[in-house]
Amino acid sequence: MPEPHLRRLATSLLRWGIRVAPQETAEWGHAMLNEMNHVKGNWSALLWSLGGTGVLAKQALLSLILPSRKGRIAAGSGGELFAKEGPMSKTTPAFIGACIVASMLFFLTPVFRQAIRVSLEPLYGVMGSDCCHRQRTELKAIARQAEQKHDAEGIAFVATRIWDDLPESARLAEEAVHLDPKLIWLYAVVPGRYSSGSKLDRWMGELQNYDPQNALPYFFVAAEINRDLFNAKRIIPHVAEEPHAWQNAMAAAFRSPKYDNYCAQLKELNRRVMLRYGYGDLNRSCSGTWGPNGDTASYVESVLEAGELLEAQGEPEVAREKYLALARFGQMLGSSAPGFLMSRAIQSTYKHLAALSEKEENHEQAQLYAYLADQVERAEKNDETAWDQRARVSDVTRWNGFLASTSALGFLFSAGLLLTCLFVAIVRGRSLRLGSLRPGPLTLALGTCGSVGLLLSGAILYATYKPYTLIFQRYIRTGDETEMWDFRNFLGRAEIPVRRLSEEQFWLAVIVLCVIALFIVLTRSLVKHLRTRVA
Amino acid sequence: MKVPRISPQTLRVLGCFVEHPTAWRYGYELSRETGLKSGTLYPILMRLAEYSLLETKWVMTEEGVPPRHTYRLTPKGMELVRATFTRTRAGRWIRRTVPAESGA
Repeated sequence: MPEPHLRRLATSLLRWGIRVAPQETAEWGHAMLNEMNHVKGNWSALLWSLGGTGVLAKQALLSLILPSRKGRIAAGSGGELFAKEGPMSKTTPAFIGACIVASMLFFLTPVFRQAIRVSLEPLYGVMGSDCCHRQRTELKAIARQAEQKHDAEGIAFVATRIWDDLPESARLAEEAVHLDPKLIWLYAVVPGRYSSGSKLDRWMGELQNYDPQNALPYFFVAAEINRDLFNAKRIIPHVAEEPHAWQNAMAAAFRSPKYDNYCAQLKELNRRVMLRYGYGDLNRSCSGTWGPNGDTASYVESVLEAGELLEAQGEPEVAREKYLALARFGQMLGSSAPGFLMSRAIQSTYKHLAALSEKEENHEQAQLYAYLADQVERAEKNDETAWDQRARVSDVTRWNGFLASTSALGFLFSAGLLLTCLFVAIVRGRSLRLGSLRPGPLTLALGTCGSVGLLLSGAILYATYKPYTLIFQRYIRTGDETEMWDFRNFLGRAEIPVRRLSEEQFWLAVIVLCVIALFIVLTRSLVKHLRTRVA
Repeated sequence: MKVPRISPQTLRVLGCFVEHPTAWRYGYELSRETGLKSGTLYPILMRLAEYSLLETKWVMTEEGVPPRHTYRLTPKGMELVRATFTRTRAGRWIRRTVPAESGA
């Protein structure tokens, strides 16, 4: 750059500085500008101008952030004349206080409280604290209220959600059924059914009397037999080697004309109780209900193997009976999401039936069974596609989730920044009295940023979470589940991204940050001390 | 007079006024003498002026050249300098070794 241009640039810079500087500093700007005429060398003039512009820009910035500084002139870092600042002016602390109060007002809304809870939940995990404590307390309160009001559904609701105290879950379930015998299906969904084997036997007996056509109690009996074997460290490698009681229970289940895991009843109960008690944990809407599992699929496979053996022994009619029993059960499962293994097992059943019909040269029947096998395969693919579509996260949900998690982090960071500033002000003022606090310009500026950050991030978190609360409320009121997948996808993304950290890593990061902060404080103090000594 | 805690840079600026406390000095002159850049020097001058330790005035030096800002210690500033510096037998000015106190 040609030399005259450098000087012109230097002049322009300083002129700009004078324009943006507060009125009381403008005179000093002109002083620096006029003095530049006497600076030898164009590069030196540019450096002079840069230094001066920096001073003026800093004054302009400080007068914006700290309006109370108007009429006062701030010293630069190198020009701190006195060690202590004057008493704190009132405008900035009032602004900071107003922002904090406004941010705290968000906590009065249930939407914000839930948003904070959801977003910061991973933090409880990495900090090693008990994240379920609050949930347990809320459930206990609902149970207490429901027991006082003899509200069977309220008691049943709590019974289905207590996973860490099985005897209590069982007690509440029995109390609910005692108050309302129609809730006996509760025995099939409460975690308390695992509290003891004898309780399960008694409950399943009662359930069979209540709903004799349902396959579900038989599946429970079979599962309990397997659990006992597992506890006795007996692993059964093949279904054919399972105890007779297990075989009988499974056979009875597959003979049953009905399969109902009471998920629909549980969902309805959840909705009604959530509405009644204002409880908002929807992630467990259908948890605890039973569904066809690997055991069921293995049983199907074993029956198919037995059928093949019967065919080989020249007993195709008996084999057909077995295949048809399986096929009927598959039809009965229908839309109740049989799962991948069961779907394959049912397809295999139809294929066996088709092959048997083909052998008997009953081509029409063979075609029908082949068609049915094809239908099951299509249904499985459709289910997969529907699942993919539901699980696919829309751009809006992804963006909202990002906004929610970022603003929750911002809220946390701003709160930390504010606390740090308060701590520094207390240390500098050596007093806890508000009037004695002595925040420096940097502390005050950071405090202002922290309070504004707290307010902004709180507002963003609230605004982002609100539409999803409406989706949830609509579900609770009307049972409309159309947007619930969006809601669940959003919840998964609204959490702050600390789940990947282990508890040790988290605390290590906290310790490292504290050590760095301590190091900076000590270094500053040492440098200050040395400078004073040298001077 | 109580001596406030003064930063080393401020001491360098005050040191320029020790020898001839009543003389008017220019900013660029002070910058060269103390080795401080404009970004450090001017906040110090501003603060000294704010505390009435320094007085300022504009002077015309040459025809056609903008006036220059000049600086001189006020009586209060001279008192501070006298309380801060002392002359050694060799004629050098050094800072008094008084314990620092806070407050103006």
